[in-house]
Amino acid sequence: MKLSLLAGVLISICFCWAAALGSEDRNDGLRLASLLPRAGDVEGWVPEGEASSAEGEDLYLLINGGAEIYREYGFKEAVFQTYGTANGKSINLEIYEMENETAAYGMYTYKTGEEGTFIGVGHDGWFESYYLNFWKGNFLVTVVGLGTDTTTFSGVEDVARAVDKKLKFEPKKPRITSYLPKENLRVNGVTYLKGNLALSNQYFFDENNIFGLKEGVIGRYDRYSVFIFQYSDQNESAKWYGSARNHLEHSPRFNGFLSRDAEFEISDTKNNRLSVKHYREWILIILGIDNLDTDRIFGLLEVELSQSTKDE
Amino acid sequence: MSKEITRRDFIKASAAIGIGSVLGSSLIPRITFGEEVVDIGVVKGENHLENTKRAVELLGGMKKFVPKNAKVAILANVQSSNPGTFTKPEIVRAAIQMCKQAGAGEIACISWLGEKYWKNTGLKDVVDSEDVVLAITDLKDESLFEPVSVSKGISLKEARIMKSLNDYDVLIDMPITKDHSGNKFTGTLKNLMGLNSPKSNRTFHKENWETDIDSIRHMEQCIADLNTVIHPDLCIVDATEFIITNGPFGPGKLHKPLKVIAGTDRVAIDSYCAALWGLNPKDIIAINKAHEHEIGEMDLTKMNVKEVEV
Repeated sequence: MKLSLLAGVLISICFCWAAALGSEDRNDGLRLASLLPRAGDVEGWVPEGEASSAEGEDLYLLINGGAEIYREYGFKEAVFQTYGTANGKSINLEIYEMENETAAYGMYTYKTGEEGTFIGVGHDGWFESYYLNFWKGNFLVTVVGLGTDTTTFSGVEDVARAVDKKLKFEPKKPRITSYLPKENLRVNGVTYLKGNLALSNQYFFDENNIFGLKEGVIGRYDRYSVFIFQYSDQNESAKWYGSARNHLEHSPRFNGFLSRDAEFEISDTKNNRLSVKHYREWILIILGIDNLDTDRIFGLLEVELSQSTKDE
Repeated sequence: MSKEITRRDFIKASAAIGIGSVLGSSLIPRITFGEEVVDIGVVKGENHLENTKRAVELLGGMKKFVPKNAKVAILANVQSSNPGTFTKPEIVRAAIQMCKQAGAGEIACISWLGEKYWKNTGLKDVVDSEDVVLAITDLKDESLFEPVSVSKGISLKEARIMKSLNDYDVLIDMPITKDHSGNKFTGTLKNLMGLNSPKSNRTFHKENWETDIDSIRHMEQCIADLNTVIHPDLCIVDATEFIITNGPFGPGKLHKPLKVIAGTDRVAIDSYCAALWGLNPKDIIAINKAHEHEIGEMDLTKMNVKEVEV
């Protein structure tokens, strides 16, 4: 009798636990979809058709080969919805739930260019030509206007604001971005990197990951760009510096190799000069025209790195 | 299990896909325009409909590719409705009108992407107003795709191609050229993944969703391999306005060469298109692999590219 009672209690507990897990899963699914503005949330704009969504690898079904770069940064789930007006205007809303805020920020910097305007939506809301991106917490939001009229552009902003209102996070950017000297850094001129795919889409060194890149940042300045690649320790950075030096010295894409101490220089086929330096647990690169004062720029970078790591 | 295909079956099947299918690339006849042999026709200007027609006229006109009463399949890119990511409606409309004028018996836009995609891109309006067929294959029904052995395949040994393709005599490959975050470029070669089942296409991406260079090489080799068993009779590429960042889905930065490109050599056309936004075709793995398969010519100095600006 006692045993059957115990068994009953255990079964009940199991049921409750399973039900709780199930509801948690459903809520997880609903959380992302619940960020989508509903009819009435944005004046003049209503959802058109069913929302599309994808988890993990299924992102391929939604955005085809565009999924790979999301994978590199760390992707969890996405939901897409089209909105329309009574007079036939359309907007596409894409919400990506990334693995963490670093991934969301990284994809944001990857997806945005320099030709745009900051608008006060989410973190770093940036409007370019016909589309807007912002990130908040581990979410990346993209709103695309399928037209170039003022109604569509206003709708893009309004839909973005409606999503933004539902997200409550404080911005927290990867520490490596703070190592870039601020002076003359271009507006929205930072790209955070999590792997060679993102790097190759910014600057093509080699199809192989010759820098063993796992984390890095690119800062764009008026006459040059700065790359900072971070490693776990000085031995690892030295290993990858050697690898990159060896590859680039013999690469048909580059010429004019010069080497001194922990530094080498090389030119690409578009007459850009690259200066590459091994400094503690980092590899530093300056990409620009030939007559740059690279010693001064490396000096500035080293001061920033020393100061920032001292603060840590 | 693969369906075994004998040479006779292969030629028969290829003949159903298109005339070019049974010919090696070196055997594909060059196209004459008057006295001139034209390999790639390019027309630049704002009027996409007229320029598409002019580009095909540079090759000798649609009658060169579409015999009277032929059944024509058109493969456009409708994956995304973001600007600069899908084949523009007026370019597809021009192709349809040219096929009609050439005396085509039936014209269909074929796809495994649902009607929603066609509506969102405005291409459904073209299909309806031109009164042609929108032949959609249910992507979830694998029985609608047939296994095709890829005898020259290095990474792809078996493709799974839409069965309905066998219903047509002529295939026109109509991509928009654009950026691709994985392999930097997409054009005529990659567009043919739109005939292969999504399940098979997934195998182009290595397991565990890796993004390293081996995975990208594998995907690019698969694309080149797929192109050894599907041979479009004509390619018309939308290079009027397309994304050069955040591809292939977008949104991204738009580049506007305002060009429509027509030809039969996929490797040459893709090489030409890659150069439109400063890419070196030698850096595009699929173009190299397709060239190695002798699908076409990478060296544009060996091709007669006729460009007209309107």
